[in-house]
Amino acid sequence: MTRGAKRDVPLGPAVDDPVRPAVRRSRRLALPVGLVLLACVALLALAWGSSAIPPGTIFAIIWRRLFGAAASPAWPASWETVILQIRLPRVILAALAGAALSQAGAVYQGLFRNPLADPYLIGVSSGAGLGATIAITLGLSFGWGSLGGVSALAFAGALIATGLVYSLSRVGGRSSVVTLLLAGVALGSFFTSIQTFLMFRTEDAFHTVHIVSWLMGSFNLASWAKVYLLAPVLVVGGGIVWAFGHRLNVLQLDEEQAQQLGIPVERTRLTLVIVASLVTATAVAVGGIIGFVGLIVPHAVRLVWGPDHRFLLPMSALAGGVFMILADGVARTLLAPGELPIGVVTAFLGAPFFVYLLRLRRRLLLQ
Amino acid sequence: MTRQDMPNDGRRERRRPTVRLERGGLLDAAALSFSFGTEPVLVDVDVRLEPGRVVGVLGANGAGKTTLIRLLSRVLPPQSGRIRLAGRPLQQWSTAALARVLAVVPQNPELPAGFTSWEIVLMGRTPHLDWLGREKPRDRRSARDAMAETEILHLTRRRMNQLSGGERQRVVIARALAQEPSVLLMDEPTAHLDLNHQVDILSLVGILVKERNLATLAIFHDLNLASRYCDDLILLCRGRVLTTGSPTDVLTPERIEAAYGARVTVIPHPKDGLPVVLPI
Amino acid sequence: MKNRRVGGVVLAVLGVLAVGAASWGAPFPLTLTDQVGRQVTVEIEPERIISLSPSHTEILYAIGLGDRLVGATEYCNYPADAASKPRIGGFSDVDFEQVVGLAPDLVLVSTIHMSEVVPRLEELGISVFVINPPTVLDVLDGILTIGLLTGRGLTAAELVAEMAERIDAVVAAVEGASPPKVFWELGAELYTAGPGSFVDDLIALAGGENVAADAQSQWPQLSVEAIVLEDPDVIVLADHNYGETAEKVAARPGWEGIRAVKEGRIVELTDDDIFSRPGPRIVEALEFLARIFHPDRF
Repeated sequence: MTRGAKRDVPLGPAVDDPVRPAVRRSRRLALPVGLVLLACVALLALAWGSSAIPPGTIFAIIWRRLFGAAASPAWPASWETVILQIRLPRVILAALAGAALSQAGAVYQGLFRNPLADPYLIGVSSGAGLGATIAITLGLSFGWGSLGGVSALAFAGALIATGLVYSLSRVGGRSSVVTLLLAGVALGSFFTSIQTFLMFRTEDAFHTVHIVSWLMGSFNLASWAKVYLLAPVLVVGGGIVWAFGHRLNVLQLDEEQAQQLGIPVERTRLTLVIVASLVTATAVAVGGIIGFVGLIVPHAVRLVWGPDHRFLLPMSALAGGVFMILADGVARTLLAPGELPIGVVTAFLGAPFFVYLLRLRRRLLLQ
Repeated sequence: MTRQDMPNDGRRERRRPTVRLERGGLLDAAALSFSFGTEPVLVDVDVRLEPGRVVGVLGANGAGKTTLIRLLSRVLPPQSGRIRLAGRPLQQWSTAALARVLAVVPQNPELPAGFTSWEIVLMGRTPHLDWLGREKPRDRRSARDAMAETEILHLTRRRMNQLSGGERQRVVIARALAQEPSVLLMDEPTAHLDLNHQVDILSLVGILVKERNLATLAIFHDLNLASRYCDDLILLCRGRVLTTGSPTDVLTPERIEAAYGARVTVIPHPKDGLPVVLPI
Repeated sequence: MKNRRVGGVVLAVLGVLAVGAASWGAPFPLTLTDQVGRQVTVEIEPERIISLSPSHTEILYAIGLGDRLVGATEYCNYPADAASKPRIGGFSDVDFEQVVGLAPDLVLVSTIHMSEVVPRLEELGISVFVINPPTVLDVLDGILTIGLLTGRGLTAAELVAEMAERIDAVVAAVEGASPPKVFWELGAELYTAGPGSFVDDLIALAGGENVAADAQSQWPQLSVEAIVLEDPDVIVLADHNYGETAEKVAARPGWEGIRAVKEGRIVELTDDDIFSRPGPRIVEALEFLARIFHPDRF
């Protein structure tokens, strides 16, 4: 009888779950460690910003908000507003958006079995861009606070575009991966051309600058309302796709095999597309179209821990959250008080890191 | 680890087919037809699979053999004819329920490079897993036994891009066995294997078919292997059934010439008299 | 007709003076409706004001509130003192941390901030007033409004009265003169100011005729053909600061036949701010243009 965890049958060294033990051990630890890392990075990011507030005071402010205190605060009220109403929701929103985009990217890469897939593949970015352009050029706000106007129309545009792409690609009740991609490209170009036309025709030339900067993404307009919107969407949506993790694994075989193994391919694909698109559309509505995150974070996780989606999905979410918090920190401090578009930062940070991982992998493979 | 070492009986019982045999074969297809556009691929084909028997399907390339498996596994819908599994029309089975009963060993399947052979074989347990896809010890045991039987236990940690064609073939067979089906459909199961492996696999399949009472259909390229390992043969010619019957009935020079356009000689095997096909 | 309009504004100014005098005792708290229909209530006279638009900055200084300005944009460069105020943003991006840290009583914004900045400022509990006068005469109205909002109604009224007088003078001086055709060049790709734009209004008041007055959009791009056919008498290079000169224009193929080129009436603008900011310096802009269009009248 060999040592170790539960064994049903004494079979010598061929272990019960013979995936590389080192990787498997690291998987068990990786998720809780990732969670702790996320919390640490978030706390660190609270100390960054254009107003210089000492870290000790930051903690004191949060402590006082959570637990109250007898004495009156030793800091000006504006500091409290900055920490509790501006920085805290911003850091949390960045983490949520990073998690949402990374996880959605992993889902899309699995669904399309394409390493170049990202969450904007089938229309979300062009639809959101068009919606945001309409809101900005017409100056709409709907009176819903920070969720109105641009966010609301970007969200609507993203969903409409994705819905159109999906229905365009359905032929006789089935949609193939290739048709989805092609429909996404076609519709994306169409929406983008309308958006460019509107930018060109807008009455106020400043709108164009505004649109372009929105398209590159920013958490400058983060608010608690946006956090309260994205958090439940991410938790529920993320939970659903995580539960589908095993099915995503089987979908990596071709459709025929997946069906022969008992996966209802069309239904599974539709559910995943709907959920992943909803999560992406919400993330885009609150943060703009931030590129690179949904593409490289899942790749990085896969390089280290392999393609099992039951681990890949939650780990991508955690890694994406950490990455986005860091990127947002850079975006708002590098050119303070100005802001760098976060899309630029994610590309600058992400590309070299990814190259490093690729070289690491090559070295590992050659050993 | 060889078959002799396997602890027996207590576990074997659980591998009886979970589906009761009703009147007619376990898998019963009649008058199947299918065309791709206007190209007829299969015309008026009947198939009956019964537990414990291997039906071999023969025919030249393009005769419609793979399409037949696709129809029987419900990947493609037949344009006419009907298929019944354990008496129920195939259309009424849910995808998962069908996969618990029917397994397919495809020819040249796509297997993503990043997964280990263990993970691929374990995918065979998919229709038996809960909605979260959690694997239980039972599932892992089934996968391990399947790999033991196909003699690839030493390859569990290898990734798919590190295996030879023959090893990949055995992984796919093991995956189908892990599914614990009652019906097994195989598309040229020995295509990439060396001669010794071909014989090993086919005799293994023969043993398992008897032990687990599997209703089996296998497409063959090699007429002589089909002759030795099948109980019945179906000979297809341009989508139609040319003839069915035992190997001795089907493998005659006239019939083979009609189906393949090749002139051959058939002699009885010195050991058991089964037909051996030789080119002229 | 234009005389009547300006005259109307002068009457309005007197009306405001009367109202202001009547409520001399307690002007605050007061509620005003801003340009987009929002009701803004100001409890007490604002001591700390932030401006998100260079034109608002100029207005604040013009009514004597320069020292109450605690934050301005990167582009607020007039008067010179404005450049020393803390920078809190550019065009439409705003550093909210800074804005909150400066604890403003009032933030003056433009209509471009409507879709995202205004809702966010409201969420943060900061008082916001939206104003962006679209025509020259609306600017007078706007200055009065800002004056009322900040408790400087009287000063604003005096400023407006003076501006109205100067505008009136210009309008009277160019009365009856035949308007020259004007092409206002915003860029080498031949973008110009169309109907509804501020510049179009300035040109008309200064006694000129904008060749793009009937264009389809507010910032149209004209083709060379169209310009040649219109044959403008005056070309104003609002893109002079970006490298366009009279020589370059004269050298453009097909342009040598245009009257403005033949007569050398190509104006290079060195300070294009006064033509695009709806603030107190529009009278300078108007006087400048009127002198160019009708030099004989001045």
